Amino acid sequence: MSAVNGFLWTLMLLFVPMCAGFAICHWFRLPMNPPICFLGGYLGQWSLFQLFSVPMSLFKVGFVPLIWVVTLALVLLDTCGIALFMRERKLRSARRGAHRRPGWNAADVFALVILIAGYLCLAYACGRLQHVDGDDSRFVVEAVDIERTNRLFLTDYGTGQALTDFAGPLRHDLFSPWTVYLAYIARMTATPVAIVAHSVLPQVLLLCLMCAYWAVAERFFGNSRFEKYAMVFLTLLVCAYSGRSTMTAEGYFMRRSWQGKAVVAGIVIPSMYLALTNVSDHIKEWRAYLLVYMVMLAMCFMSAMGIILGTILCGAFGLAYGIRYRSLPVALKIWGGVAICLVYVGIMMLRMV
Amino acid sequence: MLLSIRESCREMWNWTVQYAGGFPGLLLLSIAAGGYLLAACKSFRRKLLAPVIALILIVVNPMLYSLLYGNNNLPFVSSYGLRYWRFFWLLPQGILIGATAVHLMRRFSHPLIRCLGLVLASTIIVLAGQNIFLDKGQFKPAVSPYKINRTTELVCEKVLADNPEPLCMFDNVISTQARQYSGSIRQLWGRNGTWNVISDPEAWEAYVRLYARPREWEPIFAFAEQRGVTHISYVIRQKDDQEQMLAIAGQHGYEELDRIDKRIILHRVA
Repeated sequence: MSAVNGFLWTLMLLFVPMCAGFAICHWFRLPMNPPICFLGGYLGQWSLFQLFSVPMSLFKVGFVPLIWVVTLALVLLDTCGIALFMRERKLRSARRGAHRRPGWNAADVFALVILIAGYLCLAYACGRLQHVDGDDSRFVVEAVDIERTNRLFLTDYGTGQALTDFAGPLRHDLFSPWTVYLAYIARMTATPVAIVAHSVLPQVLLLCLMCAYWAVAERFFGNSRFEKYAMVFLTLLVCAYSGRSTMTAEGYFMRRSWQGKAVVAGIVIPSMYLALTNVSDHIKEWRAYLLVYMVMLAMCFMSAMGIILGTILCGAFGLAYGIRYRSLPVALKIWGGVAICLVYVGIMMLRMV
Repeated sequence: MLLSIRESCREMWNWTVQYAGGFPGLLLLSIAAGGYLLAACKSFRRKLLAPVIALILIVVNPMLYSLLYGNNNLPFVSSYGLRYWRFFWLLPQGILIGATAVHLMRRFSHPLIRCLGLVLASTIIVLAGQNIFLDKGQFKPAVSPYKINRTTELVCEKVLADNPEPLCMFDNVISTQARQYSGSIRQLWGRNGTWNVISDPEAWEAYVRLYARPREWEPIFAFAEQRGVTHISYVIRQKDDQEQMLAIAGQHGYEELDRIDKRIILHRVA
């Protein structure tokens, strides 16, 4: 791997989602700090992929047109993001001095140091060790085939034989096209898919996981430094020490972070909780519901399990908040997320009949 | 077939035990943490108490479990019983434990006590859990950025150098990973001989023969020749068996290309 690959990875996996995140945080009125922008950027990017890849796969358009459409959408989103970031920076520099944060104390420094050390240890372990998973013979190979043949889900991943129609598990994967994302990153960074999936993406997704925990910590404890650093560190520690079972969300993520299901378990479910509890703070604002729909699209993008779990979460929160606020429109707006899932399930059922 | 409520409860309990990995340290800690946060944190209770009750009613519900268990006619929830454990992902253990520990530490303002609290919380997590990366059965040192089996990489390199678009009949280990290394490799079967999108009964029959005892090489190589297979890899430890295989392979136009990690790689001579 060369310096060019390194530059392209930085561009596609750090810069592009971060810039997209500026726009998303601005539109959804989320705090515009780097971790939340990074997480928001990734969720927005994944929801864009879901929006474009499912219809384009169904109509057998091919991978190259999808690359153009998604890249164009990301360029637009990033341009908006950069423009909004510049404006926000001007406003911030004008406001500078109005709100001065309290200074650092020994506990803050200690928490930050062990958080950084913990992250570096995990990143080193993720890079140095490998977990060979049998499921990759489907998920990673699907991405390999998409990238190689420019056909979306029209290759038998077992044999490499070209197909004329979607068959078997491909009919499911079509509606949760996470592998398209792997193929896209591989193509844009000129890197073999297996290297993207097993070596590059886990590092970035680990960062994304920390950002999700950061966002939760910020929701719990506001801007207090020690609390945020300590919570992110302890949560990462739970991830690293969830080795007793292969099934827990944290353990599942650490073992096979490059698979869609694992991203749902580790990153998108906490994000969904954040989006849904955000509704309770902004019950009258449409933006709050749109954020739920965006996260729901990202959840559908990852895995069929994401569709089921997203439906359950939106269903439960819609019911609970509908009763709590004695408002049917609130429940219906949250259940809009369920409707997104039902659209995908409906199309799948129609295709199966 | 619907399960009785008692059977459903038993199965759900079994899944819970399995999810906890036999030692429910972190699971119990996270449930206690969730309970503490609901009791002690007003904003948490206001936003999450009702949804959590609704979620419990949906997920920890023996009637629903009984209704959906093994129902293969419903899309997405087919074989629901086998995937029930994934519903526990809705309980974010790490976040609950982390938030509770920090919430408790927050009561103390002295930096030293906070630092000690953080060390204590970390120690409890370390003792209740098990380091995931020390599990030798799951994690091994990576030998290349592809992070697949080294033998697979060597076999694939050899085969691709011999033929850039080979059609292969690989053993289990190689067939599971070969197409991750390169999509140019075509195979007669994928993982475990069954993971093909389009089922191929003849290929399945050959796969079963390959792992049957006593092994009959003649029909295997006849099938490979008929399908135009270019490369075959197989592990044979006994010398007699190897000689017999090579003799029959020769009759069908296959020759030994190389031996990699106890595997014989055969290729078809035009």
